[in-house]
Amino acid sequence: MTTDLSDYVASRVAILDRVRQILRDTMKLKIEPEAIDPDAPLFGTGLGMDSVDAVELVVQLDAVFGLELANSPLASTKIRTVNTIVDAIMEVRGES
Amino acid sequence: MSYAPHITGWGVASALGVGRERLRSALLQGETGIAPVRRFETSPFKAHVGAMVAGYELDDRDPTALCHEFGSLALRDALEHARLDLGCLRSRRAALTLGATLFGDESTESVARDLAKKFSIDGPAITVCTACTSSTQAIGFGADLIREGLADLVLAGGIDVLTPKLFAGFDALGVLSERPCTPFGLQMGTTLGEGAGFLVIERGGLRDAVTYAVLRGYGLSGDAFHETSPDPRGRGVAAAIQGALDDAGASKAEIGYFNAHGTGTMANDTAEWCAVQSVFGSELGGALPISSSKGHLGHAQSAAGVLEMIATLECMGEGLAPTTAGFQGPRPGGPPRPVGTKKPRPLAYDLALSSNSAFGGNNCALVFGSAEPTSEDEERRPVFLSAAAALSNSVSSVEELALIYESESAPTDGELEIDLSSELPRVDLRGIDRASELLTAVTSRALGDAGVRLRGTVRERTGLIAGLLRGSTDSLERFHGSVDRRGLGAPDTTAFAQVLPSAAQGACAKALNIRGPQSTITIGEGSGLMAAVLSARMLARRRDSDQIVAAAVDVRADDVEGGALFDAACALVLCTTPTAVEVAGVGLAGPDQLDEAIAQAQSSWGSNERPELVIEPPKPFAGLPATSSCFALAHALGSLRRGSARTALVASKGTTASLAIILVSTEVNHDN
Repeated sequence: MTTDLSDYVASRVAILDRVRQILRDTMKLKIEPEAIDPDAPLFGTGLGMDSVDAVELVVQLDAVFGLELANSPLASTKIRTVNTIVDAIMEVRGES
Repeated sequence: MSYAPHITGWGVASALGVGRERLRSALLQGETGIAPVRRFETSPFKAHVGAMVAGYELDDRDPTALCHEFGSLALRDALEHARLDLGCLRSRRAALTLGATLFGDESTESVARDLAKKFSIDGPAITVCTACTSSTQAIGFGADLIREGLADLVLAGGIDVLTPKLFAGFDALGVLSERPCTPFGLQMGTTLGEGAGFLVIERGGLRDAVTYAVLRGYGLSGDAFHETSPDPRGRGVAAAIQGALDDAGASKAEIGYFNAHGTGTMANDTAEWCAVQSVFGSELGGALPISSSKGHLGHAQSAAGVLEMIATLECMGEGLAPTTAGFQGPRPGGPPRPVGTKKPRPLAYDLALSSNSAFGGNNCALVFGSAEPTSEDEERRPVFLSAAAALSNSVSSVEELALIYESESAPTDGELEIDLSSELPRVDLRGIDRASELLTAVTSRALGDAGVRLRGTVRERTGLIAGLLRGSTDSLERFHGSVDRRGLGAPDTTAFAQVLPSAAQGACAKALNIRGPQSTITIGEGSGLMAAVLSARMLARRRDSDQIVAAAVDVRADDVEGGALFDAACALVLCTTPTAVEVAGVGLAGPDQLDEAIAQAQSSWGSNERPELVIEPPKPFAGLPATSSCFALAHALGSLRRGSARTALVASKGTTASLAIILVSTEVNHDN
């Protein structure tokens, strides 16, 4: 594995962990963050979030990662799963 | 005996002015009270308009002081309209039923307590705290006090104050309209308001008073759907409307006008229109004159129901239907032709319907008008107590509660752990807060013990009345903390949806699928027993439920003895199916009238016998304000079942009312 790639993976894993923590705290999930499937849909049958939780999640993501999702029309495409959130964060940080 | 609840006066303080004269002229002129908010800075928000009480737009006193002020103004106005002297209430067996929802540090019952004291109302003061349905339900419960002869005069209404935090919560949820709201119109979103309104409801014939209308009936239901959104099919609203029609003994064809909740949001207005069509059918429903007063008054939250009923009464008396201010054209999925011209439409009608819906899925509808009720004296059904569940530190069952009674030893301090997900494996419990978790646990256990399976129509025939003092401590801290840390522009919306006192009842109803009559009430200390008294009276008189769970919750309540923080909850299943223990007598009186409450319970039992057992709250738990009295009732049930005695009395002097319940074992009765 090249250094670039391993840096990328390490950075992605760190962000993933942080997003999972935020999700667990926001949703008051009584499971360990690692148990959150990064590809499970956040809404509906997946993690069971709804529009009310989405507002809070966006506020948290903007605050912690400097995203500007609040009032952004792109918010709904960027917060579908944990992985799409991580993608959005990587993009803002110029790491993707 | 059953007495018709006569409405002999009303009073208001609203965005259209203080006093009913001002309200009437503003309604007749088609004015709106919605304007740019000046009381607080609205720059963090997307919306900037609100409907503040006229003359108080710049008054930035704390919300409790404003609550008191608005309430006093409306009460004085109501008494004047009913031609009652300010000081006369003491001698008139008066009671207060108030819709109020505070989510600050104060206990919710404090407003009712202070107003009752100020206006010399010696009888019970019951606070309904179900957000936007608070005053609607308070009117229904107030009318019941008259019907059942528990009071001769009731002041029933609601108060709310628009605070920056409330504005912040709604703004963040994205439900506020940037321009003044136009319910049923093309523009989506609501506008918040505030104010106070009271009705004077009396037993007819006691004095020379003008009866303007009779409160014919009310209906309650729960959506069991979502914490902030209504069921889009409008099933809960339809059930409340049907319940009100049944209670009134009125046919749907008799309803001449419908004052809808009509907040202006996409979700509410569409759901409500679905409900109208399902109850009235497309022909009657399409022809029913319908409007929403929120374009005039804003959404006054806990005062919305009473202000809208008063707006209807003012117009009804003039032979008019109130307008939907600001309405310019219908939206898809809403009523095609609401009353929407600038001035009220001439309309003669004898019976009107008014409905409100709230966060947590509460719905309440009222039927009122000049038409006299046709039904004969209602027959009372016997009510039984079929099961109880208790939960606190070191108590996980009614049997363990009995051990606490025997030993009188203080429970251990340790955390109370509940594993709800293993008890209710098929229920989605994600995001549930502490009060909701406790309430759901005891309610589920009590219903399980009673053998009630919430399937099919049983869901609609099962009710839930919660007695508690405030919203869940963890959600309150989380919401207030988010505002402190991130500012009013970014409050925690998930927590905001849970800060209301009624949030736990809504979450429990949703988790367990309870859709029958429901409410959240408080009298401060004794709130749990109040829930049981209310449930018993509702089951005895109404026909819309077969069982009601009366429950109490305390989250991190201060324990008087040790200073430890306790969580506690208790649920009792009251039903009309005969079981081993009957709720034979029920009493409700003012906070300083415990003897009167006991005498009432004794007289409704119809026996001169003294109850063999008198059960007090368990000493180690005496500091739990809502739950301790419920624990006493649960223990009384257990004692009668074990055969320790045949009769038991549980009485409690609460903060704003005194209560008494007499339980009688039916099995021993048969042996005699």
